Amino acid sequence: MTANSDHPRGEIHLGDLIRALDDLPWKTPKQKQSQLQSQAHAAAVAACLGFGLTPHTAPSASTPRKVYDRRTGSEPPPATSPPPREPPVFVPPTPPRPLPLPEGTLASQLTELPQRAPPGDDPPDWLRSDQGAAAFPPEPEPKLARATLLPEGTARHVLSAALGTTRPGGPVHLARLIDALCRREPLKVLPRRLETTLERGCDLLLDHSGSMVPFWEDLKDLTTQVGDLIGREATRVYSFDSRPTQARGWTPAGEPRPWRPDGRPVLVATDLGIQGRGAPESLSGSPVRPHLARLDPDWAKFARHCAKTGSPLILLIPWPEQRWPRAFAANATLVHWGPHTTAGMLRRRTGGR
Amino acid sequence: MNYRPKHLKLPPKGVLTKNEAKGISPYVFTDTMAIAIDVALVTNRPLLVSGDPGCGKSRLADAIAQLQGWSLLSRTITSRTRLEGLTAEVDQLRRLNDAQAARLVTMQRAPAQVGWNKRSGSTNRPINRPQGRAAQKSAEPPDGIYLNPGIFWWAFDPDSARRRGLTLDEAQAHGVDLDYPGIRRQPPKGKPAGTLLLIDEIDKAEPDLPNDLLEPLDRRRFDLPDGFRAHCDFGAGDGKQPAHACIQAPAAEKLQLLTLITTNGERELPQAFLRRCVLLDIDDPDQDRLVDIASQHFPNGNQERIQAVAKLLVKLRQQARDLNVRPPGTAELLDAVRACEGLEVEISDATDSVWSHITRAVLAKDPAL
Repeated sequence: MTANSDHPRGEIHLGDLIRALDDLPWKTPKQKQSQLQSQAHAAAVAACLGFGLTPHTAPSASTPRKVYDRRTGSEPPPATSPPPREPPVFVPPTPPRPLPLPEGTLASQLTELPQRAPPGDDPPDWLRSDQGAAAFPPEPEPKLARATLLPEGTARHVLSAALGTTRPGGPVHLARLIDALCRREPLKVLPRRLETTLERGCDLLLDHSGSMVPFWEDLKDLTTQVGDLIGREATRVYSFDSRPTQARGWTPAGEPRPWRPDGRPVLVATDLGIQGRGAPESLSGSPVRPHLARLDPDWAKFARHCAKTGSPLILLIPWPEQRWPRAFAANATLVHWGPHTTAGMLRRRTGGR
Repeated sequence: MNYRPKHLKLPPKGVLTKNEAKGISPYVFTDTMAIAIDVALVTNRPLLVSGDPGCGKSRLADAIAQLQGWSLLSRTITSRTRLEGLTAEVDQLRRLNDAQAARLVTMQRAPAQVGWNKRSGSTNRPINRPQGRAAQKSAEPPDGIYLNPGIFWWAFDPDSARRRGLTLDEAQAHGVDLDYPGIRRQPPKGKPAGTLLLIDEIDKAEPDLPNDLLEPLDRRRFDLPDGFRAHCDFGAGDGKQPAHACIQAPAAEKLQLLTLITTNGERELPQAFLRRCVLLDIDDPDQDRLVDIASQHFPNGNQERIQAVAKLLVKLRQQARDLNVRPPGTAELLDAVRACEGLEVEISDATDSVWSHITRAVLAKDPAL
């Protein structure tokens, strides 16, 4: 067989860039004004190969759009006007359990402080508007670095395991084949084993109730992660407040679109209202048993809707398993939504569906 | 056009002009496209083309193949597409039925040889006789006859794909001569053959497929199904060389190959896959370029009308972006101009004019617009 030694192996590397720059006519040294153009061509060559040395600009005057690649995903798009200042989003850490307050009322005393500056005095120089503003230019506060509940490395596998359904189309099912041969049955279709597929898409239901406020950023991340995996066209996003049967999506025209199960997998990100009902231990130290707390009956109705249409139901719950209600619909798969969740855990719970 | 490509045979103004007699559709190239294609050709890497639907990603493959004088193979990916379907797949059902039928024929022809086999204890089984078995074996079709070549096989070694990997003698004996599943163009004398392989809409595949394609794309080779071998002696097919368990593309001196993969960006592709591809993102053409494209397609078209349609498309595109719905693309522009030219429709602002209906049917398809 003819050797094929000049074919590249592995990922794109600097050698590819050197080869391209060495071979292609990106230089136009005859004219002085074309020097910038040459640089732009070189930058474009580098950009094609994924080397973001400079923005991919010069050849076409139009604004470059983002290639669908996570490596470039964090770059902010070029803005034509100053972006509006948005308040930074801080997700507070879980507050420590409050100390029990002492019984009764403590004595308190108010003391008037002496006046520091007389009312008629000029403000100090540094506080004057012309200098003070220059000294402290308005800058948006930086966003806190935060870790998403499903880390980038595992999200793809976890969500594939959660949302995958099966269809015939895998390897040949030998047992059935041999059986048919032994019975001398004519085979019209080759029996095949089931294979996992994401072709059915997904209904993503996000719980935006008050108890989920600490996880709103995670809900946004989850929407992106599911869209990346399943495809935006195949992902229908709905939102609800405590009652999942009342979930609504929005059409591009701004019309509300009620959620109706139709057989596609349903992924719900919710805390089932657990946070609102207390922690594993009460303030007095006695354990709270969440399974005794009554779950909203709407959840049972919701699970029945899913079962009726054959929609696999998966609930992602950001709280640990000890806090979950023990009794939930049999057709639902409850999964901890956290960084230690793995695809294997999902498969064990769903039983490979 | 400022960039003069070295490997892409681009005409001076960067336009593949229309030629109805030869069935050539026009295509307007940009510097970005020319550079990316040149880079893909010089680095022997697949070219991953992204862009909104209808921006001309798939048509780019036709245009490149036309310019280079290369053969064109294309396959649109669906959620059902698997690696075997793109490389080589065994028609197991036909193989099984043939085996069963051959067994029946053997039993009918030699009833005396069929019966109770004392040694094996089974019924209805031909008693093995060395001579009869050898004769039967020689009459059986070779295994390769059940191999269905996929698009990668056709791209890497079209001659052996045509024969399903059999030798010339075997292929003739069993009447195996498959048709080329694309547009075949013969290279000029003394020049190497070239093939453009289009893998369309990769983002429609199951998420694992792009990773499965790494070996055929990267190393330009793939393994045949277990137990199968093929004679891949690049045109000779004389059976003098041993059969191989894999299909591999020849060196670039013998076969030039460019794999063009398109994506609508609907779903994220694996990083390992992205890192092996040269990236090209087709920008939305501005109004001037839209007019240029439409004028190339309809050289005798009404320029005023083309201008008006292009202007409306740019406006609708912006509205669609604001509403986060799919914007109309170049394909819609051409449909609108074609409709106006064919029906001789005048542009009108009236709400119930023919033009407004065409706009709704062709340009502003989304109800939100």
